[in-house]
Amino acid sequence: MLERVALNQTRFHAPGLAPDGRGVALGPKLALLFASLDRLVGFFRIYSEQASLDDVLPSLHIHRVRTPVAAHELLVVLAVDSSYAADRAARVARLLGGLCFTGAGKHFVQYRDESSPLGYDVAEVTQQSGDFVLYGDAFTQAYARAEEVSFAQLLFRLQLIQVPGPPEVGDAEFLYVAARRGLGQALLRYLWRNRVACEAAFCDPPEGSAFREQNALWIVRVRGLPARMLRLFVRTPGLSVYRPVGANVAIEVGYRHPIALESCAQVFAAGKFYLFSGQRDAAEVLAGPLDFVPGDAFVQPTWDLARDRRVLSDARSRKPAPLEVPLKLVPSFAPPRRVSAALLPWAQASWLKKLVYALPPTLLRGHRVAATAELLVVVADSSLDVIPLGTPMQELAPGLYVPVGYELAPRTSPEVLAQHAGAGPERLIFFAPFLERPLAVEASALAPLERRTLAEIEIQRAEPAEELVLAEEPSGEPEIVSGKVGRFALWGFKSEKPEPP
Amino acid sequence: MTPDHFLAQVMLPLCQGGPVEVAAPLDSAAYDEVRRLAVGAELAELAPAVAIARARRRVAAEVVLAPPTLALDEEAVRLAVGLYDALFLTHPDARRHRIGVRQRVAEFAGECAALGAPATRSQLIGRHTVVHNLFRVGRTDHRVSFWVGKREFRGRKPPQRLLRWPGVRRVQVQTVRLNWYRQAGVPAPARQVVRHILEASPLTDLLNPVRLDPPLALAVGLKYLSDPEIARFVAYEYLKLGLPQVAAPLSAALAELVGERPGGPEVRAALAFVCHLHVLEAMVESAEAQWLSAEGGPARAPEARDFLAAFAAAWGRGHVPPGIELEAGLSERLARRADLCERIAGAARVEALAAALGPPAPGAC
Repeated sequence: MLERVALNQTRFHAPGLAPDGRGVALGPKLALLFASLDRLVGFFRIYSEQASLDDVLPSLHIHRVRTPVAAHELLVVLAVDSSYAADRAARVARLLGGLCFTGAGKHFVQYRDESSPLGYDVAEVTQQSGDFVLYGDAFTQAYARAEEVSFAQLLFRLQLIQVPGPPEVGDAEFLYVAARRGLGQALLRYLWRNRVACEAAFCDPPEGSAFREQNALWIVRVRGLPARMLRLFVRTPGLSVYRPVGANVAIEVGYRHPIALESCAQVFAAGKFYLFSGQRDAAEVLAGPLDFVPGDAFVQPTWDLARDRRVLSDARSRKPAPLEVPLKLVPSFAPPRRVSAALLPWAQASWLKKLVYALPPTLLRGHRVAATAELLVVVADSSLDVIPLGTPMQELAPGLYVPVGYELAPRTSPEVLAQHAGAGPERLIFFAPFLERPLAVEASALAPLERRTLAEIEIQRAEPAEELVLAEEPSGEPEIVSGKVGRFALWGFKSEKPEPP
Repeated sequence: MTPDHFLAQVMLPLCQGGPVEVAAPLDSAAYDEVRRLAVGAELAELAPAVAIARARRRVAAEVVLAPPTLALDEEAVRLAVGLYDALFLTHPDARRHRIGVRQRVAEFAGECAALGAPATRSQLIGRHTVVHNLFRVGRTDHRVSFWVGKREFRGRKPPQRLLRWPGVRRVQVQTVRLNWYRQAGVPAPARQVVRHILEASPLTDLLNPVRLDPPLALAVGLKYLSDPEIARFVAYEYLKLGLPQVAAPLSAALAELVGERPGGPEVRAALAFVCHLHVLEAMVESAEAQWLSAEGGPARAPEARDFLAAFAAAWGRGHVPPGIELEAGLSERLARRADLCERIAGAARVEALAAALGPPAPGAC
């Protein structure tokens, strides 16, 4: 018999239960009950895609359990540290028809669900004997442990699933090509000839029974394997292409493991190299770590001693003649850049004042102005589109300005030109067709446009006004008031479901 | 319940707060009447509609600087009717009716609320203004015990006759205010309606991360965080709640997202948002965040691990939120914070999230 847990409940009958930060009744362990092995595999498959199995592997135990009537089921027990993690596991387990329990020791109570969001507690702890006792809303059942199934054992025994369609390697950084002993040299020469960078390692067969087939392998690590070669290698007998899914694990291209191997790296020992082959339906464990060396070290090059491409040069150096070309402002057909400055004649100063009145302060911000004897110079930090006056200028390089539609010839790098002209953030140089010589303006002469155009303000002392009237405050949180429902309140829902809106 | 009454006594208090009168649920005929009255009516002719519009505008003005025009449209009415019928399912008299009929009320409420994700910014804000109080709706229960028994009054006051002669009859009144969603025993069908409402109003979903159920769906809400004003408001609300509180739900949502869409652009966006929260907290706090360094504090909880690892991964790869100038002091604070986050979260988790972030930014350390 289960009881629903109430908010702020701190005492429970079931051993090990305690409220977590959200008030959910949670034990240190989670027990997931599955009726069959395929559902168990399905659970690991989905869970490993959603979260890392490495987090739960140290505490994971898979038990084959037996009921008093000798029915066998599978019980996964794992440690959980938060109800968030437990929620995820429970969601996946229930998706596959499994049941989810939480608790400690041998007593496990049904984990929270929609009917009881804070979880369940037992009314009374049962005295049934068994290794595990599960308390559900419809049953209380004791189970005896028949055997423990190792997760690694489960992982290595599962058959790879063939992926339909042409071989896909996704975004793998590199691929492994495994070749039989006799094909290794030919493969490396082929790759070298086609200028495909690779590294290779030779693996001795693992020690085992004298009657077992022993095959030594070349493992070639190839970066950027062309698609045509991938198709060729996949079809070639004696060659297999593997896609890495971890530091020392690879799966044959065209196949995938039912469980995401990336999420259970702990299972694979660091000193070994694991190859999961789909065609041969086997998992090969090689002694590692593999020492890869550049593939061209294994290729025997050929030499043609008669051919020597080195050519001697008899050119002598001499002092060059001085080379100087004057800078010119020439019309440009390049698309115009952002207008970031403008040169205004003094005749347009009144227009600029009117604009300052009309424009909002956000647009005026970032504009600076300098008044020279000849011109008004307006410079913007971002864009000067809001001031359509004067000659619009574009910035070729920091501090170097030319009119829009013009460029400087010769067409050297703008940075070089700026350096040559002495332009920079502290000194702005303006080229214009109507200027005889470039105009230099010191950055310190530029003042913010808002400040430069403001006239003196006469200040009047303010007198204290009446008290401010505060705006209407919101009424706080909504509060349910249960009204009278009436005898026939649900008449509209009586006969059949109402029409959806 | 008349349509006028619904607008004044239900929809208005849902929008601005105050007593929400929950009585008979609305069926499709009643919904049609409310819709006909509310949608397309001139505001000046309908006093409750004016008040609702003002309350919604006030809520919207907190979210964005220039709130859109929020007409009392069909969507708003559907959400309000859906929520109202869900509230009815916890009414003390609801249990008098057969479970099948109650199920039909829940189904109708669910269909009202099943509007799908909002297509525009105005819809997003408009829907939020109707249901923004969803997780703040409360109920005051009175438990009266007297010499021969006890009675419970959920959401209504006990009658005076029960309270008479308190000394002789040994009357004791216990008054408890419950949060409707968390504590009032909301049945599963009503929870399903709430799910629909959160799907229809992702902003409400994002702004209430600390809750039991349903979990925060970051994958849905991320799309709307690309709007700077919305993202700013959400980030500031999280900072107001406090990062120790939001760390766990955000972390769970992040883990869910990384598991569902490894390496996807959504993951990068989520990590960027989390990173932004860290930077904002570091900017407003002159000293180190106490909650990070406190032994046994919320930062040490395992469920907050991804939240911390996200920042460590982003900082390690040189991903700094755009528009932030790293002054010397801030840069040092962030570096110390990233180091602390990595130590708490563990290098393996940081590496896993760093892989989702992609190649390091130029100039990254």
